[in-house]
This record gives sequence, C-alpha cells and structure tokens, in this order.
Amino acid sequence: MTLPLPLLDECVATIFESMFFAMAEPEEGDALPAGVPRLAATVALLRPIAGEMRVELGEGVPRELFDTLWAGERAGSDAADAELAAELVNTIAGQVVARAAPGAIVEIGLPVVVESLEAGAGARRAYRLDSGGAVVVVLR
Amino acid sequence: MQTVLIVDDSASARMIVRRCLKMAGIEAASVLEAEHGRAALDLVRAHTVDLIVSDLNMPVMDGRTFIRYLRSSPRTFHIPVVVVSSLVNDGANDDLRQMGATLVLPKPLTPAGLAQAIQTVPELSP
Repeated sequence: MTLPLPLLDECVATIFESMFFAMAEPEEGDALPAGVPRLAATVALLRPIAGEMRVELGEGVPRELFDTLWAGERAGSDAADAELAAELVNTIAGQVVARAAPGAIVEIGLPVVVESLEAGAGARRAYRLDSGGAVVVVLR
Repeated sequence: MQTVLIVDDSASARMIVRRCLKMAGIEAASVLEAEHGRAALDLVRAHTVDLIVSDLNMPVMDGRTFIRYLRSSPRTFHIPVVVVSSLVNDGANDDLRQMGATLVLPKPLTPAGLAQAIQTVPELSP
C-alpha cells in the first residue's frame, strides 16, 4: 500500500487534537529507531485496502495521552496504556482508509498491542507532539 | 432522557462519548456501558434504554450485527442508535442508515459535531 502522506498527516493531526488537545507535527527522519522502547498497536486493513497499520508510541507517551484524556477520572496503568494505543490505531486506520475510499464499505481487524524495541517494517511516518513525545505510523 | 447505553470495546472511547453527550446537552439519568454488541443486547433486555451510541469494530459481536438484532426485535426496533466509528464515510453512512442506524458520526467524536448532528433528528434533540 502506498503511504497517502497528506491524508495521513491530516488524520493524525485531527485525531490527536480532538482526542488529546495535542498538536502532532510530521517530522523528518525516524523518531523511534530500533532499540528505543515503544508501545505499538497494529491493525489489519481488510477492505477496500489490504495491508497493515501500526502505531508506535514513544516511552511515556501513552500515559501522557491517557492522563490528558481522563483528567484524573481514572488512574493510569499498563493495561490502560495498551487499551489507549489500540483505540488510537483503530481510529487512525479507520479514518485514513474511510477517507481514502469515500464510497466504499471499510473493514479493518481488531487491534493487537505489543511492547517492543523493534521498529515496525514498512513505510514509516514520524510525528512529534507538542509535549516532545514521539509517534510513528507504519503502513505496509 | 432516562437511560443511554454506550457500546464500545475501548474504555477511553466510551468516556469520550459520555463527555460529548453531556457537553451536547443530552443529560441522562443513567448511563450504561458495554464492551461489545452481545453484552449490549443483555443490557437492552434487562433495562429500558432510550438511546444507544455504538461503535462498529468490536470483538464478540460487532456493531452491524448488534443493530440487526435490535431492529429485528419488536421490543428494541424503535430505540434510536447513533453509530460512532472511525470506519465512517459516505458508503458506510448509506449502508448503516439502511440497516437502521439513526445517525452516523465519525470518530473521534466531538461535542460540537454531536450537538450539530442531533439537531437534525427530532427524537434525539434535547
């Protein structure tokens, strides 16, 4: 799958702003190279575009986003971080594919979360949050 | 509005819906939550629900199957269902409306988007 960069950038910016009141600016290079800890969530793209999207969140980013979203209403935890990462990849993947194919019924799989030092293989697009945190979206 | 049922496998997404409903002026005496369509059906059978806000992409039972069950039962076919999903575009909108969704809104939900949309549906207007 070709990485639709302008559409991806727009979707990522909108989603981070709407969900977390955060700015996500595209960044040249790889903000999360191999060896850097990350929480990653992947989802299969089933139709009308087939492939996989993975969202990688740098260390501390999931908890920062969680705390912003919940504003103290719920305590953070590893499970809550994972759940947030899963919702994030689900939202980004769904919105990118739905907007890339506006007349089509869109189907994606259920998100899967992994903690990893490995950078996901595929076309990588890095974003820097206004708090300094790193986010990478990988498409293949 | 007495009882609203929010159906989403993500606790964060359910919280966003709760917050948006409140900010859009839809005050419910009771808010029920379910992680998937199957659990939601159990709640609908046990409670009188006035409004359902449901995701599509969920484990166990997805949103489309959930809506089909709701619309096929005389006891639940009338309950308004607002679909909130990232999988929403023109194609999905038409399909979901034909299936029985009252309103279809994209994720991430915003209070302004919800408030504007519910004004177009008399049965949902606060």
